[in-house]
Amino acid sequence: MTPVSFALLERLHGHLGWLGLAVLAHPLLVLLRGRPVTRGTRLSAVIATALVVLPYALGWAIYPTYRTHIKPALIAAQLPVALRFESKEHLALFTVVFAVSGLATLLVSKRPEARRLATVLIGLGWVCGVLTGVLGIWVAAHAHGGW
Amino acid sequence: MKARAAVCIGLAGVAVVLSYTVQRLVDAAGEPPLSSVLLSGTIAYYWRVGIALLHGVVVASVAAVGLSEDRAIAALRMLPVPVLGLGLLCVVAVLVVP
Repeated sequence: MTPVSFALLERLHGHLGWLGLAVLAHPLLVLLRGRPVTRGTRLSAVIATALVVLPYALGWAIYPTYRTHIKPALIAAQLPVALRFESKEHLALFTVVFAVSGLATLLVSKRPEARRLATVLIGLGWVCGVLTGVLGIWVAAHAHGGW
Repeated sequence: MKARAAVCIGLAGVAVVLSYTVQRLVDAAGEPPLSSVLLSGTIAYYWRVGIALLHGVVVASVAAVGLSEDRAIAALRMLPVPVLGLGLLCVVAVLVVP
């Protein structure tokens, strides 16, 4: 992977992740407010989950390059930042798992009890996603300084 | 049938997150400091995710076999609270132990 393609995929990874979280807020708000789950809500939940899974997959693709080209220097120069990246990768997995299981729960059953479980799962996914995004921006700012 | 599927999915999701967190905490207790490792031979993250997903599948399968629809409805009623509690606990754990 070239440095330019890495930088491109890294930026796509971050931007798509935030886009996914923004879209995920729609089904989450519908569920939290107790409004009816329409076909449109289910569709937005599917799109949002896809937009959360896609950047995670991009993260998997660029991770080997990160660990050989960036991680050693980051550990040597800024250990606390490297450790925050470790937290970020754990939380990214949680985001995907909670979002996917929340979506699946929402799709398989229309029972109110299932709706409550889906709300908790999607809510946890959204919170983990925001934490992941904030840590991602913080680590990226330290790993690639402005000048 | 549908309540049982929802319970299986919810349990699988929590099992994956819990398994991953426990694996990470166990690793953290025995691994050398991050600053002393130049490059590990394998990518531990990929292994942890793979094993956690496997645990999720096992938990979902056991729940699918062991739960009747009536029991699943009862389980579905009480599941959101422990799922929320365990989920938040895992989030705090991976923030405290990166």
